Amino acid sequence: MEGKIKVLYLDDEQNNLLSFKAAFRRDYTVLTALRPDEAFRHLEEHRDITVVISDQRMPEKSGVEFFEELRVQYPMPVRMLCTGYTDVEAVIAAINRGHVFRYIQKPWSETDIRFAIEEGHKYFVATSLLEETNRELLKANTELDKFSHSVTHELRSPILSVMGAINIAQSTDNVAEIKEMLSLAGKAMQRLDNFIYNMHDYYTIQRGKLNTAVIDFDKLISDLTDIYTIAGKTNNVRFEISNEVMEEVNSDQTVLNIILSNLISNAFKYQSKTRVDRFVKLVIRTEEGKCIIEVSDNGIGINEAHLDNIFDMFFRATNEEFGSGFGLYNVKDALKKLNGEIKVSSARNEGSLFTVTIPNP
Amino acid sequence: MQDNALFNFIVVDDSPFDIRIAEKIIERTGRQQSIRTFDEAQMALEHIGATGRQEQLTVILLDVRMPVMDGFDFMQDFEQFPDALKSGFRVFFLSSSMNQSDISRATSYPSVVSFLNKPISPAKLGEILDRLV
Repeated sequence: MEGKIKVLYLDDEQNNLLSFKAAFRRDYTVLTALRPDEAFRHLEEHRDITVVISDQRMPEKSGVEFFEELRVQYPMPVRMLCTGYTDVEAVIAAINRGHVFRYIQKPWSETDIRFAIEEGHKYFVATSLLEETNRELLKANTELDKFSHSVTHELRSPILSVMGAINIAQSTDNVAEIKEMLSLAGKAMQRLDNFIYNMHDYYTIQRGKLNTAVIDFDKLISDLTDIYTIAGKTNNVRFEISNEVMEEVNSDQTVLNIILSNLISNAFKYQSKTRVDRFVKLVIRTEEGKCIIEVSDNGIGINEAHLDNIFDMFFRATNEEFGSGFGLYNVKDALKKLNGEIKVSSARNEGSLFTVTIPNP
Repeated sequence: MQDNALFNFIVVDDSPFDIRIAEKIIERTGRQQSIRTFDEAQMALEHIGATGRQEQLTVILLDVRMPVMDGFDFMQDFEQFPDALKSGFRVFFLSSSMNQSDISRATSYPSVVSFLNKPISPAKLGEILDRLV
């Protein structure tokens, strides 16, 4: 709820405070203070005060001095100075030193004050929004910096591997050695291509508009079977698929593909090297208003300490296989787009289970 | 130390390609007493802790960016070894990073001799070894 505007009024005369409160308490939340330290206590306690009005002539501190301090500690609330004297010096000081938003002459009229408060509050809201936007921009900028730094590295390192391999191949007549270097270069290029593929996914998710349609799970599953059954055979990994979809699911095919292919290729990739009976299992089912996808394996699993970080960009929990550090980030990003969620449970050397839930209204 | 002195080498890099290339390059210099490679920095530290100082100098070629424990984390821990052990080692960062802050951070560790850019040629590595006395 928007709530009433919260106003703090500082004046050394009790009567002024009382009449102020009486006049405005219906429309605003009014806090009053007889002394500056009391005013600061209110500010400390009520972080949502947006307008501060102060009398100029007070025994301990002038209004200008109070505002000078206020500006340092609480820069956001809008400041207004109230004085009964046509005290030009005080007004100049208030503008220059106290950075006041408005000067109100005593005796004040209710309309003047009301108008000033409304205007001041509007100003406060506008500046807060601007600050918030600036903060977000700064954050986005830092992320972009980190992003380009990491991307440069990811793009460059396979190229440098290839250059190293070429150097060695060029300076030998040994065919076996040349072939080894060629195969190494090929793998490095595969890694680069994979990274670029992931980048493409990243932008598809970031920039793409959702294209919601009824998902053809039969087609999706037959595609996946085609891709992974062969991969599974060469690596001796069983691929089990269970389609338990009972109702139509409306979602974005491309985004769903990104999620599935990342989870499934990870499951195939991070298999145990020693286990004989190896599997990857995909279960797709519907529950009222939800589509649930489970991808599980009995592979190397994920160290518990890393479980919180695996969805972070460029985070890699293991060195056992090549990863771009992009895959699960894309999965999470894609799910954000679909308003879905992902849970993971995993045990080292036993396997992992990723459970994806997508709303299906 | 004469120009054809032999060294022990430790390569720490998460990329198996780069490890293989580093091995080849080291072999081309003909200056290896031994070569040990590690794709996880932690394992390299454990190896160093267990085997300690060797008769010949040990040259470490260290990558910057690695998952779990990166080159900087490795150096943080390496510097904790006693001086008597550290004096038997010469650490070189060998990385694809072009980032100036990576380079200054890398060379801020007392045990790091310098920051080398990938790919390194056998001739260049040979020159560097010649200067290690």
